[in-house]
Amino acid sequence: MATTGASDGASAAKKEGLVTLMSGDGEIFEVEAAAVAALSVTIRHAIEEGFGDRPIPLPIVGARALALAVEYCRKHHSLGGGAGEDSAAYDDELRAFDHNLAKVDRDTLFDLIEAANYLEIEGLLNLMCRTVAEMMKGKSVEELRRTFDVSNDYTPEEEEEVRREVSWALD
Amino acid sequence: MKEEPATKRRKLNNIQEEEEDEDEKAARKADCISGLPDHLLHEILACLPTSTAVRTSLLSRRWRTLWRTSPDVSFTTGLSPSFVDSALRHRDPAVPLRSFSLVAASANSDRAQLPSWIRRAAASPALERLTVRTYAQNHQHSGIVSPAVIRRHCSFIVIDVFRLRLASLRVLELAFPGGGITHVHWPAAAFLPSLQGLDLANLTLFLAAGDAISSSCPALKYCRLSLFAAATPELDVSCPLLEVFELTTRDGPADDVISICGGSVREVRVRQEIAPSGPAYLKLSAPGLRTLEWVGPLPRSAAVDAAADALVSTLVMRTDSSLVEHDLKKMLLKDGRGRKFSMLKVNRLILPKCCITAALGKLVFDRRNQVNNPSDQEYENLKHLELIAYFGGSSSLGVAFLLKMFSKIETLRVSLSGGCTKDSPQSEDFYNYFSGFGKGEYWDSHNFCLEKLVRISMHEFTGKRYEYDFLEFLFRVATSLRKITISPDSQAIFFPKEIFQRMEQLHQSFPHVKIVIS
Repeated sequence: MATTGASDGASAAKKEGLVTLMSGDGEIFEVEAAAVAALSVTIRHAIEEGFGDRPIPLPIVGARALALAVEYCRKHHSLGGGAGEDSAAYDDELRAFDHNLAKVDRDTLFDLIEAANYLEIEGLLNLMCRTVAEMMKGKSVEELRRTFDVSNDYTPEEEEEVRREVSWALD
Repeated sequence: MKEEPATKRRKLNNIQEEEEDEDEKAARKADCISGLPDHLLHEILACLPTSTAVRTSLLSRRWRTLWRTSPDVSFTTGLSPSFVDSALRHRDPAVPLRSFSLVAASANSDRAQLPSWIRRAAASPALERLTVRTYAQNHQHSGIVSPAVIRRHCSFIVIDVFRLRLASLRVLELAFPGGGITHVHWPAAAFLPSLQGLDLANLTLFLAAGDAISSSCPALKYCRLSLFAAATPELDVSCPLLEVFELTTRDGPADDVISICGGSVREVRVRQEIAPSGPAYLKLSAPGLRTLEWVGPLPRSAAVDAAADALVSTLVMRTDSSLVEHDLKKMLLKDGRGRKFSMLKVNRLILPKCCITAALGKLVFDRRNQVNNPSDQEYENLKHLELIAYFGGSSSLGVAFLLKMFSKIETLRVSLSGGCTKDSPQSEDFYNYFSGFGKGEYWDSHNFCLEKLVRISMHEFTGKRYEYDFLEFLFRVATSLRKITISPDSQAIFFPKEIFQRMEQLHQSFPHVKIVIS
């Protein structure tokens, strides 16, 4: 009897701190409300609006991007939010985590940008935009097109015109 | 929020989507970057120097005008005045600037343009972030420029950014080369209601009043001032939200007053680069203060209102060779009357260069016949001592003096050095007599007692005899020692086996001490 009661209590308490998210492709995530709400403005508002016991639908966020975004929130909440520990070590661990996260493949990278934008996770959005910018730095226009599979839809005349427009910025 | 315009986006990108065949669709799908909405592409462009951002307009139609509507512009390398002008002229005037950043080397001739660019950026009512950080091309930005040179080569540059209305500005960072030839005026009427971060470096600041900063910036959280000169004898910062305050001055007037007040203040750092004496008075009213770092001469008097048990207060000795002796005499040898560690509740002392312990050794040696008993009570607060030493010259005499004086330390960090120019060869023998820490040598019989010392770390350990002697000396006098960390000389490729053997022997003699070799 006592055991059952205790376990019921524990599971209720556990449920208390959790929130359910549903990705655009229908996958369900049960995550710590405190961590995601601290980092994601969108989820914070959804919880405040009483989504607590229903799954929060995140229509444009894919499961893979959502899993990564949740991981980001967890990590930054637990490492950035604690007190009393050596903050320099914290920064190092977070930096290493961010560095690893930025190594995702290109498609995931853009999914994450859209996810971070939708979920309003400022740090993650900045991290991913910086990552893309780093990939762009020092590349010629042709290299940029190749890197991001941008197809050139300019007519030769148009391209010449644009080239003239920005000639002041070209070497 | 729920209607993210994913479909709209794609249409923007390509109107004839339906007409595409499968191959084209696949290619379009792969181009995920062009599919991002404008504001996200702007976020990416904001991380790029403007020259690269402008070049993206050649990518495809989607990109043609993107950079022009980006609210953020940043200039980094290869600053040319005409480039900055063109970029500002070519961007879409309907989109007000949100951030303007210029971080670049600048030639003298360009500097004249800075005020006009700053004015132009500040003309945007939406400006949130303004960063202008220029440094001299030859990287001599920290050099001291004599007034005569300034008069001959440069004219003063006056930045009057604070006269402008900057209602949404959150972060302002200005840094200029040339040792203070840039003058920044801060009129009493300045009002920056949204400013949270203020970082001014390498300039001469004219404050209309001592409290101009706090009365202009009610929302200020971070304040970093690195001033060539502050043309105000009084600096009074009391912002309710202020968390971090840092002040670096080169040669402030001797009778200045610094006052920092605020319930949110966590960190205060004051560094005086070449000033011979500290401020006349320091008032620090910060009940939540956690970190106080003081570099250079102590203030003549001070009132520090902070919870002492939670405060880490560090005094760092200056390293400039022309100041070392002067500072040691005033701060450690009691030539400066009334300047006390306890005023700043100092509990950590750092001597960041070998020449400081060497100079201290010399001074102590010169005064060996004077009665000089440091009053113990004042130094009982000191819990942590950090120094660089060379055992074999006057430096070890300095170390001995420090360990005698700060006998209540709990942690000690010693970096070993290969030598120091302060040890002149003719006197070395003489000092050597006083430098021995080995068994039966000079300091062994001097009743050292570091009964509270529990942790030691030794860095750049090379395994010289003097180093072992000192280490063993510490084991003998630090009766409560729990842990010692030894880090090898960073030049060494591997740690000599002999050191492991010696440490093993030490561990057998002192089994209660944990020895870590890292």
